[in-house]
Amino acid sequence: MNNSTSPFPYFVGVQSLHELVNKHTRVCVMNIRGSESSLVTPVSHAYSGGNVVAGVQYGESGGRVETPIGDIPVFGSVSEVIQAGVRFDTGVIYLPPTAVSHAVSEMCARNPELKRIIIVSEKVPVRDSRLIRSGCQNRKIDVIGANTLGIANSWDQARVGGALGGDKPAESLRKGSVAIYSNSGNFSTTLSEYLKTGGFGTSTILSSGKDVYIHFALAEFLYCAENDPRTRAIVVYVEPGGYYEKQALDWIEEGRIKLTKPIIACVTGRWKKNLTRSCGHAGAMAGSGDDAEAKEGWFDTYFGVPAFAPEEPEVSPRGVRIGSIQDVAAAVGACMAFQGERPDFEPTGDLSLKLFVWRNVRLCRTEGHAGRRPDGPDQCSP
Amino acid sequence: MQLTGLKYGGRLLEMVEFPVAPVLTEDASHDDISHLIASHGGKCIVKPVFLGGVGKKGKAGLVRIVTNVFDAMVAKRELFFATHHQGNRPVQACGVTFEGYIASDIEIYASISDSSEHRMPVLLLTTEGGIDVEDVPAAAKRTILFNPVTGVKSFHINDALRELKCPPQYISPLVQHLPKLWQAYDSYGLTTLELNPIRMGRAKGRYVPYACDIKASFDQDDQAWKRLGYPEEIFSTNITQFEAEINVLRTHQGQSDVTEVNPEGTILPFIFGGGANSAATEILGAKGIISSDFGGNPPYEKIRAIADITFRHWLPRANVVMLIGGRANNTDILTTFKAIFDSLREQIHLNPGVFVVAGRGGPKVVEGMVYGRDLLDSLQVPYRFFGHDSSMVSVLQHAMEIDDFMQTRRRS
Repeated sequence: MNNSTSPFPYFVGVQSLHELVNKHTRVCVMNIRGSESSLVTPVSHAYSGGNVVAGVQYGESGGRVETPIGDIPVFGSVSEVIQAGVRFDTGVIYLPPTAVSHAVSEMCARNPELKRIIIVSEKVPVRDSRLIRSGCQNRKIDVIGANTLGIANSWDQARVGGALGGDKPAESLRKGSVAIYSNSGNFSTTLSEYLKTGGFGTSTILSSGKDVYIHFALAEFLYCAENDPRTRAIVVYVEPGGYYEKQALDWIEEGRIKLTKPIIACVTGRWKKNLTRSCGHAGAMAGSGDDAEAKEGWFDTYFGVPAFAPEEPEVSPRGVRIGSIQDVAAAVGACMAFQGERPDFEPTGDLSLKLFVWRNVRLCRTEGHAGRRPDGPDQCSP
Repeated sequence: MQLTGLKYGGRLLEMVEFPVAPVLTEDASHDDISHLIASHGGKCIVKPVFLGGVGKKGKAGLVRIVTNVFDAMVAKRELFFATHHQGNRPVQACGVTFEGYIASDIEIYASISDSSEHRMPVLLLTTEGGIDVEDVPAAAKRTILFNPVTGVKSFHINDALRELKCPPQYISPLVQHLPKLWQAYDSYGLTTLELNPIRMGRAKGRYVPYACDIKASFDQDDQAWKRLGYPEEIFSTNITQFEAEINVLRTHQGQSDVTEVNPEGTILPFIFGGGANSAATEILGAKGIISSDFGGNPPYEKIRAIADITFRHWLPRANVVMLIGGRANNTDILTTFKAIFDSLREQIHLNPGVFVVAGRGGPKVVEGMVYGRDLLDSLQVPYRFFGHDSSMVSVLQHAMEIDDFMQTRRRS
């Protein structure tokens, strides 16, 4: 991005979500033979039509990783990849956390064409994250993660990083008009599934990670979503800790970032405000003013309407906050309808409770807690 | 992982040669306390010692200034096991410190943290310390942004103090010592370091900034704090017996994050994924015994070990065992279900009347549910399994309704 036109006080290398990952993206995976990567990378490669051009595994030059659409060559270092004439613009890191900053340095030092790094590893020390931030800002490289599940582009059928869309990404990631920004990797996929029940597919999905440092945060995402013609609405899932969302909303209010598309935001984690250490996401620890309730307030103020109520849906042109992810499709639908827009396709399925397998019991009052008679009539339907 | 107070915090500052007010612990002799009082203008400060991150002791009336040994002993008796509240959690003191009173006409506040707004470390400074920094007017505070590679420099401090109109006699000693805080922060895996107040005492005819209280948070994913040689127990109040047993299994891949939410709860949830952890724990509220994130595709052995510990601690009191998460991206559902249900089979004698509810999608979900069905059928344990095409929130609510039903049955 040309710095003279950038609204950001720091380097951001893309203008549109489509630039983050697309069919032209070329990927090198560090620790490609690692336990997680060896499962995920072949699926990503096949889904994306062969976007992984190289893998690095220290001490294992000359190997290959098999995938359904052909082998990925394995090199012993990034230097070896470059010397072999293999070109890539995106690095994916699957290493243990203490090795992550070293791998980032290696990628930055050895590949002058590097544009972005996706750090899938979790539990990267905060100290390393701040050094990664500093180094990659100097080198003008975008960083996604750490603890990200990566990025997916449903239009180009491309994903980089982790297992967004699971082991069958083509099923989950249906082409559509909703961009997803999520602190949770799992919810990135789950929200995609839920959106389909309202007839909405996805444009780009970004799992931001939820460490203390979120290098590609909400402000950047909204800016890129505004500039992305595929995207008509933005779903945002966030948790306590950090002022990334407030900063993004403030910048919209100040006119630093232009945003005309509705946001459908979900904040969870009210219970976390009394924690003294993290559980789940490392960065989901609130300080004095960035707990879940504070974040709900930031969004509600921005939207100017109360939280979404499915039975009496009220939204604003700026969007609405939902109290639970199960309302995402209804809220997106309401926001789209408010703007005179229609779903991307016919709704697929619904989220009602559907028993897969079950076994009921009859609880016998006289026998107390342990008294059950199997296969009795269903008296356990509350 | 947090600590407050000079008993342990002093060690961190001494490692970087930042001056600390003299501290005696609860086992100090009368002579030592008497000497401390005599050498500090006839006063010393008595504070309770709390393990973990416990603040606002002064506001709670738990800080005493005394002028003689008799009063110091009275304060010791009153504060040694003092109770206080951290959030909505009661905490109890486990000792006291006697700290030398530093006479000063100014109190400085200094903190370092990683800023999500600026995405770099920042040093927050004010010459109006001694109170909550949130209560200090913005005009009386300065936020110094600095490069983490080079650290905060003397000129940063000097510029900020001049803007804050700090009395000139204090500027040089502060400029000399405050950059050391970055050394402590960067070297020992800190995520917050707060000194409040720093008081300006005198030594050898020169002003010296003395740290009179400290609050520090350590990155649990950075082993650097171990170089400080703290006893393990200073962070132990943050961890229950159950959490400690699970934490032994903690690796860089996660898969074993737990927090004990309510030991009186009645739903035992195995939660997969950080987002599900946040959402499910919120919905279950006080019914949830634990909050957990066992996602990240754990191998059978690990999730089996987790389940063994979890059931041993909590199965006897659970009405409902839950397996809950969204549509897994790469977690093998068969592996996780098999490990948990195999463990349940071994320990079902602890609570044969439990009900099992699962809501999950992802790789090998059908195989996982079929395995669970067959095993639970053999145990005659009731269950209800839902796929990812059912709302995760609705599954949680359904489990809560079953819990209500089971609870009613238990009472009757």
